[in-house]
Amino acid sequence: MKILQLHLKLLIRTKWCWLFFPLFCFFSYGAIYDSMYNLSLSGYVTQTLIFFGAMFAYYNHIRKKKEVGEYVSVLPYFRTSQMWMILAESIYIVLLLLLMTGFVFVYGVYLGAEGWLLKEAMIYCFIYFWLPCFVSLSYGYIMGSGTPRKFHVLLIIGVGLLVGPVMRHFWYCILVVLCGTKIADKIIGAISIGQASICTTADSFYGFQIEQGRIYYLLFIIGCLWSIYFLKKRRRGWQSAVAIIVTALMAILYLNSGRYVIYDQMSEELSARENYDLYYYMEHESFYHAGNSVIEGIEGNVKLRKNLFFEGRLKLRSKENIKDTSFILYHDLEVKNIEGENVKGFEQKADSVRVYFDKEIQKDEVYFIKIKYEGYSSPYFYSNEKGCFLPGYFAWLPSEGEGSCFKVKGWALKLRNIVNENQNYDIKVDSRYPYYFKQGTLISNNHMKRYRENEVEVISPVKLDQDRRKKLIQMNRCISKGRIKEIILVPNEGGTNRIYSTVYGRTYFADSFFWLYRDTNLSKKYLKEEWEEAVQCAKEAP
Amino acid sequence: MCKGSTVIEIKNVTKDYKGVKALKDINLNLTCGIIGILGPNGAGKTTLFRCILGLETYKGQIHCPDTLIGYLPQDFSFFKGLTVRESLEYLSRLKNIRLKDNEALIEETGLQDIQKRKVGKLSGGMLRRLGICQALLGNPKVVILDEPTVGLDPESRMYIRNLLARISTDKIVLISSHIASDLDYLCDQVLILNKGHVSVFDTKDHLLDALRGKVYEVEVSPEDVGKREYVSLRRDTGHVIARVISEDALSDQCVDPTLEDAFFYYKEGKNV
Repeated sequence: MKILQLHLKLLIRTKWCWLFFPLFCFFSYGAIYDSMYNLSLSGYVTQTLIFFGAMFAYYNHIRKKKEVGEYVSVLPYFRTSQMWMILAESIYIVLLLLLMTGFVFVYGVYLGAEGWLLKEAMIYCFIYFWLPCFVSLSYGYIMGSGTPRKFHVLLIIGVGLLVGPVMRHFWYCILVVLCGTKIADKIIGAISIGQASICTTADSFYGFQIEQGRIYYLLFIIGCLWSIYFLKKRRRGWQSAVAIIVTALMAILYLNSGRYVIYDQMSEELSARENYDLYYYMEHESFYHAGNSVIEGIEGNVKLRKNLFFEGRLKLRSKENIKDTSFILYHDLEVKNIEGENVKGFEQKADSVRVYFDKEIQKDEVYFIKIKYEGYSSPYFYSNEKGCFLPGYFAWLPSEGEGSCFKVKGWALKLRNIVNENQNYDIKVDSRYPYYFKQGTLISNNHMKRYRENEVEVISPVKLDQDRRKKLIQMNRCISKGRIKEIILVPNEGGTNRIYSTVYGRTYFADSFFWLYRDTNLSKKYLKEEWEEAVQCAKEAP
Repeated sequence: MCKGSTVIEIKNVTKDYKGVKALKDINLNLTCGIIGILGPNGAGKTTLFRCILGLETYKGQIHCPDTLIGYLPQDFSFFKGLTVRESLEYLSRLKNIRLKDNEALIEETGLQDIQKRKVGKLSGGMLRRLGICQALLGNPKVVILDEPTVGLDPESRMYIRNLLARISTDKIVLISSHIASDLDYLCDQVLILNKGHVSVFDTKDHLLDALRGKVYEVEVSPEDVGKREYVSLRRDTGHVIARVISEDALSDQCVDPTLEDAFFYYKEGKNV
């Protein structure tokens, strides 16, 4: 413990280590000032931490070599002291990160942010501040463990720029030119340890980009680096064994964590997200046939976690005498089981699910089928615990007919209008977050019913104001109550499915309503003209 | 305690550095006392120390009964951000001993008044004292001091010489130097290394006795200075006085031999 204490003293007395502290404060302050809810300067913080972690570890290793001769290596407790040294450096870094994260936390508490949101902000800090810093710290140790060379510092800066968010788009463009979008997506996704870009904001509607798989992946990288470090140091004992086992474990967990879909435009794998459906529908036949049955109602339980689970019952009415029927379900939602009185089997092919019956079902006969499926919806549509449109604009619930959810025209992807707005719904939502429903259809928290009201419901961790005239939704995803997000639902007289983007570059969807999305200060009183102008803008949005 | 008995046994030790033999078949039995190791630069002094410490791999065997060896490297330094006291605390922990039990040593080495001074602010002499102090922490039975007086002013050299003389009882102390006069004051035994070989290893008295009557101081003309190899040259009232070793009796003044003379005489492996 004494050695640990002495190493901590040594670090505290190292002046340049403190140079980074004001930088943290600046970035954290910037994050708060700009918009606390999305920690929008976090890309800069992460990049700073990536440089800091690597330089810190490298410098301390080099300093030890310069200032302490190798004679200490023959002393009985030398190896233990090495571990104390690394522990001291880790504690130092953790304390700095705690200070920084604590700054975010205290500010959030001061502003009266909700507990669950603070928790998410802390997890975000862990994934985007802590883990990248520890990755670069481990890398710095490896660089410092060899013979010091002049180019090492340049290499550290170069690698920092390669893996950090500052230059990510630059590398991405180069890779796209060199090897195409698909490979570029994979390479850039694999080497990036920070945000998708320096100007990435965590989507206040979708939430922060928190993915379990990402944690495993970063821990896997850290494990790999420590394994290399121990092997390089010729420590083939328990230290190497632990590092290798942890690395293998993280690799297994990462591979089993499954795919994640980010429903946020300025987020991970921007291009991959945008192109995901386009590539799919370019490769698969795009068509639509009217179905031989009408889906009159859907009831069941939706479990929203990283992906979507549905178990429920469909009420159908046949249009003619049938031996089979089909409905549309997005292809990444895998049907696990379909049961029913006369159901013989089923077949899922692309976006179509065909159900076969034992006996012929007569025209106008009402029949029920039980269905269970799970998976992901299109990256364009929210359908996990971060947010979900119900019943929605999209075939994550079975929709009538046979065919594909999208149609492709050249390089453009168009959503098919396949949602039957006259269906009845009785859906219970199981989510870790409190969900709010639009007033009037709310049965209780996380339980929604709707009977032919011809309007779209929103299920999301957003709270709807009771004042229906303003149709104000308070976006509780902002930590600061002083700067609140506002969404105004404006009747869409055209009544068609529309998609438009706001000036922030985010995509929003409107069905019966346009969504006017504003970043506004609630303390400000809007003039009537301003308000009307905003509503008009929303109506005229392309 | 260890007087008379062998404490370090070195058998057939050879060390290669990429084909260059730094040590060639060294065989030594080192016993209690202060052993001065003399040799020109590159003779293998530091390599021998490093082999004894286990910092180098080598062919042959070195048997050292005590695992705790005090070592002062030639270029001793420590974390510049730590104070003298903290550095000694740190090194005590590495040796698994308590610093409180070594307060007398701190006083002996003259560090008690500078304990709060940072290592980075120490003068060369003070730093060397700290190095000696850390080497002696835990009272090791084997102490290796590599060039402890090099680069120091005469006062510091004298202080360190006296310090070593005081503290080196009941220990085997290996001191290397290429300044023979420093060792002259301290050593019981002398080991002369040259080009990785042991030229001679004997007691200082034996070595000096063997040279008695062979060392002369002769007056040479300035023109003759470069014509012959001398042990040393000095100027005396306009004359150049050269120190020579001669098997034949010379008419000039015969003087008492010193360790420097012995080093000069034995470095090429002459028999005693």
